Amino acid sequence: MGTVAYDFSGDVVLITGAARGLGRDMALGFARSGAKVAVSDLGDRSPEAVPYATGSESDLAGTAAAIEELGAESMSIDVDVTNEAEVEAMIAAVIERFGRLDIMVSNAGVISGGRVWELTEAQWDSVVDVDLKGPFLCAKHAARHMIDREGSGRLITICSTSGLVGIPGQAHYQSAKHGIVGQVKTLALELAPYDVTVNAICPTVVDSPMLDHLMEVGQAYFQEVARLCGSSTVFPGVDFLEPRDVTHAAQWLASDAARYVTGTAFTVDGGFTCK
Amino acid sequence: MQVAALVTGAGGGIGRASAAALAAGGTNVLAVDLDPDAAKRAAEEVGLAAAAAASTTEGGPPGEIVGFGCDVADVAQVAAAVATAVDRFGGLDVLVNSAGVMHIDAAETYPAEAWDRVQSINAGGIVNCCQAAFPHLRESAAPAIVNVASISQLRGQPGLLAYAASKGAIESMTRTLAVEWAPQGIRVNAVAPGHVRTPMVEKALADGSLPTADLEGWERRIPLGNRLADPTEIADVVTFLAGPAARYVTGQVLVADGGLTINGTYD
Repeated sequence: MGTVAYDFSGDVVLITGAARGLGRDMALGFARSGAKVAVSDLGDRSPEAVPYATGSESDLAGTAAAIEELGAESMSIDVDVTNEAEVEAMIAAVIERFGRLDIMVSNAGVISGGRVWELTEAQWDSVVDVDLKGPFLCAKHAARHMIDREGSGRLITICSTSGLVGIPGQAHYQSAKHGIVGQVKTLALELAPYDVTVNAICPTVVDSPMLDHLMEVGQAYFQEVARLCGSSTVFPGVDFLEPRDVTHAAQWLASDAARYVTGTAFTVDGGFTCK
Repeated sequence: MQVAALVTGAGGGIGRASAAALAAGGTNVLAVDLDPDAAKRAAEEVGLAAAAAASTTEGGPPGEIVGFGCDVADVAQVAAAVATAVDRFGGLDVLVNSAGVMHIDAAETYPAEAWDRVQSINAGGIVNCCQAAFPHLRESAAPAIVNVASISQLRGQPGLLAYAASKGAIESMTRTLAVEWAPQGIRVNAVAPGHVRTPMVEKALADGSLPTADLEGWERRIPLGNRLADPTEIADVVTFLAGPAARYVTGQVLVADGGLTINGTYD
């Protein structure tokens, strides 16, 4: 059995946080499988209280160009996922350009660190707004489109093993990600009558620009997390996932093969949370 | 590269659909069932269907599928099944543990022999198959075990004392084996199906032991489409968990129930 080849030809996918890293990898994965892919990111704005640079406007243009090099149609949109008017306009732009939206992947996320007695209100707000409110707004406006048209739909939120376990220094991030697990369960029930499935993917640490920046700014912090949590996977020598491991899960959940799976927190973590 | 799979409970339902899906993807399959005739019949019918499908698609050739009678509760019979798969296909990459039985009875008078039978097949059968397969899986480039659990171990249901407990054992074993055999690269996951339209359900409907009104009650409570799963929909989960795209998925119990248990109950 080789790697599964999915066929998303005719489908329109929208992926947030797609300027680079995991979002870009998913965008290219769906493009290779024949989908039309809309990609969005924050552009050259900087989120408050985030200790690293997020993907830039030129990074996002790079993703769009890479999609088109694969022969797929694409469009790129600057969006702040915490702003409802911008999210509504993003969904409308996708539908205006491609006529439909079949698969909404909420991938945009930010992270910072601090013990509860150090964590600032600005850190809390930025993480909870992007990581929890962002997927809500994207789901809300994608769902309004999906329930009004024929055919099935998919909402996929990139969550984290932080949605399942506690990690010191991450009260805001764990709260947001645990919130996503509850969010997808509820949305799954609300949207099941419209043949729209709603699932989260919970990866462990993915080798990505976000990780690079965190290693720079917080080496000591990560060493302490590693000490408290043990190894990050059960496979010897494997500390991080590669983006494609999450891309494969997203493609599977988006495919017809997962049509009876909804409301789950599908965990792709090399066994991190089962030990 | 995965070339060979052993699927238990392959005479019908989820096991048969899983064997068919693996064969359609090019994997050779030993289709094992307690009933040797059912195993051989399934292998023959699935093989013909796979050949027909392959002639109309661009995919590679289907895998060979061979039926084999085996009681998974019997260590010697399991050893013979594994040896047959390895001899025939040159190794073993995937083990799908789908064999299972159900006995419904009141908890306060649940017969000890029924308890023992359910545990020895549903949970003990997995131990037997995993132990026999381990030396061969260890040699595979992409080894994977997929166990068929249930939603019965997640929520209480009257009458299912032994069945629910056996499925709980499967969930625990899935995590234990995932951690213990990770150094050998063996991934171990489970699928937890909700209500599935298996031959067992069809037969119960036909003979009246499952009243149509009960089935309709199940359907009403299933959010996604108000319908039971087709066995192929569970097989699609099995093949993803078994395949290389899930190379860092291990120790997971993936619920595939159309959203039935999301709200915390069967109801």
